[in-house]
Amino acid sequence: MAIGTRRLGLADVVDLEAQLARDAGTGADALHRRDRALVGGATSGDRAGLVKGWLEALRASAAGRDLPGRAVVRALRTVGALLVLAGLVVGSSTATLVLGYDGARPVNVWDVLLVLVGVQLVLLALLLVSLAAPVGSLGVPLLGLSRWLAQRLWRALAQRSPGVDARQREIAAVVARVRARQRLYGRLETWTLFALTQAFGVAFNVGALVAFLRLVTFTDLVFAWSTTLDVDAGAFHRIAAVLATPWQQVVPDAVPGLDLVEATRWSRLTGAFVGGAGPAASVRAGGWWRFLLLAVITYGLVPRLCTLTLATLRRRWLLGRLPLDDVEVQGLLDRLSLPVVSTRAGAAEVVGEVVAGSRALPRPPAGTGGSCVLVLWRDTPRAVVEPELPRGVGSGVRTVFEAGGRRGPGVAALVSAIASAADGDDRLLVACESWEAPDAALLELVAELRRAVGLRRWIVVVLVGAGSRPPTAAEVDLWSRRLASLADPYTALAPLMRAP
Amino acid sequence: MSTPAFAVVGRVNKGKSSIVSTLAEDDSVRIEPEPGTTVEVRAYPVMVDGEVLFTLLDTPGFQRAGEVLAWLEARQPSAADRPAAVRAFVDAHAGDPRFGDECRLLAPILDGAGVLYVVDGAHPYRPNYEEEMEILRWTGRPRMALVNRIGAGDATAEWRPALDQFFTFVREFDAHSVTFEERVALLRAFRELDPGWRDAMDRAIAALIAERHRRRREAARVIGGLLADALTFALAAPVAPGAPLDVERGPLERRFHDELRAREERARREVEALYGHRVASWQAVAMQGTALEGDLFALEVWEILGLTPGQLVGAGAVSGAVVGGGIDAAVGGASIFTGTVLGGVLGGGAALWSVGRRFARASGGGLVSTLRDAQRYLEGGRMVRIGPHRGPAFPWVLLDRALVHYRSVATLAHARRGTVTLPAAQGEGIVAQLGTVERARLERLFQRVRRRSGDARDELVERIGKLLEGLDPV
Repeated sequence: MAIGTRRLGLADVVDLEAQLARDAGTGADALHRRDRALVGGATSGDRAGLVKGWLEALRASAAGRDLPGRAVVRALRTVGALLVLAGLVVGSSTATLVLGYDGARPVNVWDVLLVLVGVQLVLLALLLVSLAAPVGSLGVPLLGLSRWLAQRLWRALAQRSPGVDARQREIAAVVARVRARQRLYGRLETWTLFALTQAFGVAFNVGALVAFLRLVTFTDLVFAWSTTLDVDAGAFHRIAAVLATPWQQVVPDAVPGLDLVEATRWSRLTGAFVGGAGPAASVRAGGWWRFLLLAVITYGLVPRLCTLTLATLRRRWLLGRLPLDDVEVQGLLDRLSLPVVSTRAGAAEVVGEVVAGSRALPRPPAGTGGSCVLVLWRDTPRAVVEPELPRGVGSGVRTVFEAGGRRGPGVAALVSAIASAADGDDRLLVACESWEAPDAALLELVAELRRAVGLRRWIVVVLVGAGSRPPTAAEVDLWSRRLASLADPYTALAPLMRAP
Repeated sequence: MSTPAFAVVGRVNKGKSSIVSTLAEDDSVRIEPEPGTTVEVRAYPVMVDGEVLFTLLDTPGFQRAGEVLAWLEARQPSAADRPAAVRAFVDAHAGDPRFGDECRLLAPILDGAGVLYVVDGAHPYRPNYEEEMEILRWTGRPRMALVNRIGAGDATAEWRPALDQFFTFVREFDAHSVTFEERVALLRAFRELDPGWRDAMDRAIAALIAERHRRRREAARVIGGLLADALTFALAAPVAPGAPLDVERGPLERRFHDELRAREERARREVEALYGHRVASWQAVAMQGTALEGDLFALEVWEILGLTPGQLVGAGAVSGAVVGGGIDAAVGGASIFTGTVLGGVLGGGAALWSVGRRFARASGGGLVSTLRDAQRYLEGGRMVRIGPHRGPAFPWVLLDRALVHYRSVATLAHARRGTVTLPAAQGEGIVAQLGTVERARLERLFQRVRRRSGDARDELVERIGKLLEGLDPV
């Protein structure tokens, strides 16, 4: 299955980390099988596309139905909505407070500029400085206020998510995990939180402007300015003109003229305009509102709209370019893109009888010079066996038979011939090579010989080692156990110890 | 059969199950010195994404080949009728327990499986083996002989002339010490047995190689994760006011060491599981001695951590005041002891910050931790922190142990049973053979991991991946 290029969203990132955390204790093979089955053998696509496809399949499965990504995104949206609401309320309240006019004393232009423009400009400057030099991220405890606030926020988000305690704990753990992986998600976290604060800022300004317009529209506002400092109307006019530079070409009516500035200087001592113009001045003093409204828009709303747009775009850009090259995600991509190879048996093994433990066979009585009948089992070389027999089992060879091959008589005929050839006292020696296993054919031969020669005739299985070495202990043990399974007290085993 | 199948046949106790176990990487196969433990044909399908590409068949061993061949030859079939004669034998003896094993091993061959005939090349060739080889030749199926050596001897030269007469291909294959590359080479030979099998075998071989690469990367992740965790692992415990440090020290030390050893054990089990080793066990000397204790609790570290925050802040304030006093003295007191006061405040503040940092590392950092630290400071409490391990040899010992274990796991044939004893490497095993540049690079990485620097963990995994490539080249 080919998966095209697709971008990850914030919910995807949370779900990815949640699932990686869940998978931490699971074996690699089990994960490989699960993930490969989920994507149905994905063979192509970029990293994000593969991960996205995997997440979608995972969410559709029982295992991933409760992944917390969507809950976290919902919680973030809720927080964002609450912040917007708070911004609207705080903005309109602030504007209503600052623009409060009870008819006794006009609204101070300085106050409006200071609260609705100056403070915002200072905060904006601090914000830009903190973006350029993020001291809060250095880990200094007392300066890490923003990180602490972020931690609180994430925890609050986790607690807001629906579900039982375990789910909340998982979300908290995932958030902690995401935050611990600063290299991957540090900037994403910063810009996500940044966007939330800017949404608040925009709402604050919108609230302030709405309140401003409401007061302008439905009440008669009178503005004035005053100062203790040695600032004359000309200087104040220049300040106002500088502030009005951005819109002076577009809305020239919103640039206060020198005459307006001179006419609206207020004296608290006299409780009247310094120019003493009376009611006409009061009417003219209402002319400040256009200037103040555009000042709030220009220096409050527009910068916040810009930073909100920047944060939104930046966050989207970061999400679209997540490296997805860390160790854990690389492991996931391996699981998604490589086939599951299985080589083990599917069914349980049926095991034949295993004779446990060592079984000692009776040793043959020492040879007295009597003769024997020698049976060479499956190409056991006579030239090796025969010269060594007196030393090994104390007997000389009367007759030699070959057994175990396709040539010659069958088992019954062979056994009959051997029984006929043996005198009453002859031992039956069956010479075998020790490295060959005592298989069913050999055991059958011994059993048939026993039936043919009677219960008390010694049958001695003579073991010959490979080359010049005697049979090993392990070989002797194996042969002993297998021959013991015949339960024959007159069947003995004699390893042939050849002279060096 | 629609997919290639290979019946591993031969006399009892010649290593058939060992070869299957190694080729199928299945250590659940029963391997006994007892002959005749394999009583049924057992299939080991090699599946890629669930699709069977070929199957290995472990079979019971020949026990009465002479009688079987005698029965076949008695029918005197023409060469064209020999496969039918073998089938007739199987049909005629289907219920005969004397020939049960022969019937079961011949059946899949008659159904289309290729023949992998196993002999023991450590022991001499005997003409009676020709009976088995002749029966297999009569089946008419493509055949390959595998010379498996069970023991120290080498009689391969004796076997070759005979095997060459009966088999298209003859390969030596030591099931107990074969490498992955040798296994792949054998699979490549399988594909030559029948041209119709090449495509499936090629796909299987490619998948097996890719799987091997994946395992190596996974192992690098496990080992790199172990190192990163071990190098940053710390334990912290508050000490009650007035309680002697030594009371806390012992149990905390033991917990610290036990946890490190447990992490190493877990990582080892993960690597073993990756390579399909579920039965074999690895025995290694646990980390001990200078690898752990010697560097972990250096007296200096302990004493610094044993100071109360008040002592540290007091010491900082005094030292700051001394410096400030020097400035006051230099200007002849014109500063009205401003230098002394400011120096004391700054010195004490710096020390407090330092305490906060240290406690923060132990207890999580952030404003809340700092406030808690301040509370501890006011209460005169102490925090004992153990780790992270600062010993310069520690990461090298840990890495060396992991590499030695990895090499053993990756190269251990699945036919091996029992316990594998690892050498007691203490920084003198595989890492001792690394070049100066590689060592310097790793040392820098260790330092960065200890500082929790950025993507040092990922880089460490990458470097370890390179080291594993050298240990398990594919």
